[in-house]
Amino acid sequence: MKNVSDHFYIQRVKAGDVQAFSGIVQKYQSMVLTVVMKIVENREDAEDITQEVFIKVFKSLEQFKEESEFSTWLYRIAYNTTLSELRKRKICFTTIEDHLPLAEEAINEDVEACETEEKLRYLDQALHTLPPDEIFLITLYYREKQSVDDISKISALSVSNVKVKLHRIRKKLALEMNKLMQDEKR
Amino acid sequence: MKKDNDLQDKFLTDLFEQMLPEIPSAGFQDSLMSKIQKAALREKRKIRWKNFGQMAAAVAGIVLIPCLALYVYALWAPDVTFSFSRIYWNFNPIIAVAGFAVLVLLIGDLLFRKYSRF
Repeated sequence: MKNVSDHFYIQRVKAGDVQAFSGIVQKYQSMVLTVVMKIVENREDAEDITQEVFIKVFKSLEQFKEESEFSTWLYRIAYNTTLSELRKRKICFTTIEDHLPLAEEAINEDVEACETEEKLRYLDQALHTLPPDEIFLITLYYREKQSVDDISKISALSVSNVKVKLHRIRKKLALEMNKLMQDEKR
Repeated sequence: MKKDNDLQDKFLTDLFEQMLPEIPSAGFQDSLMSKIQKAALREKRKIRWKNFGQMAAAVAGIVLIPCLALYVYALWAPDVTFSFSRIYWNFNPIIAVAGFAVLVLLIGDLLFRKYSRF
């Protein structure tokens, strides 16, 4: 059903019905904004970037041949647009150094025992210590339930590279969440 | 180690599922659709200019270049039996050919605006 309606809107927009694009916006705006908001904390910037994503989608819709899922194609544009907009706007991130060897760190039991709201807060803070591309990848995997194959298409990384990156990101998140928990305990 | 990874994976899966989706602020969609309408207009104009350019190139290729070539040939061989000035009502042939080309372009553009979906 999801693909049928995507196809319907896409065909109408391609036929010159600009207003039909609002159907696509309505359906995917929250999805894109959620991922972008994980990277850019400022809502105004996140909404600007989300709008930029949809304008690019509209402009390149002619090139979409419906060989892949529309959502995968949309995420690919969102991924590239977000990263280039961040570079353009010179939004800086404090990130964990990627070249440092990471210990095999599991989520601390104390963190697991926390209330959901508290865990979500730790996760949110831990996410913001990651570089933007990694936040995007991990959010696509866990929040948007994209497969490793789809993430590989979205990010133009090989499947094995995506798997390695996801593993490293999981370790970084565990490390950071445990650290946040310990800092608050003190 | 594998178990640790699986547990971590499950922990993150559960936690990400609890995250609430972000709802765009009021007016987000309206402002986006107005930008999309403007982008659509710009695209239409771009396509129109592109088609106009293609038509101009075609007119230049079909009409202008052979006429100019003929004119240059006529200048180069003065004993040629016909004269452009007589054909174009004693006008300078360059002006006549350019005027004709502009006329073709204008009519072509009018027809294009009338019958194209843009």
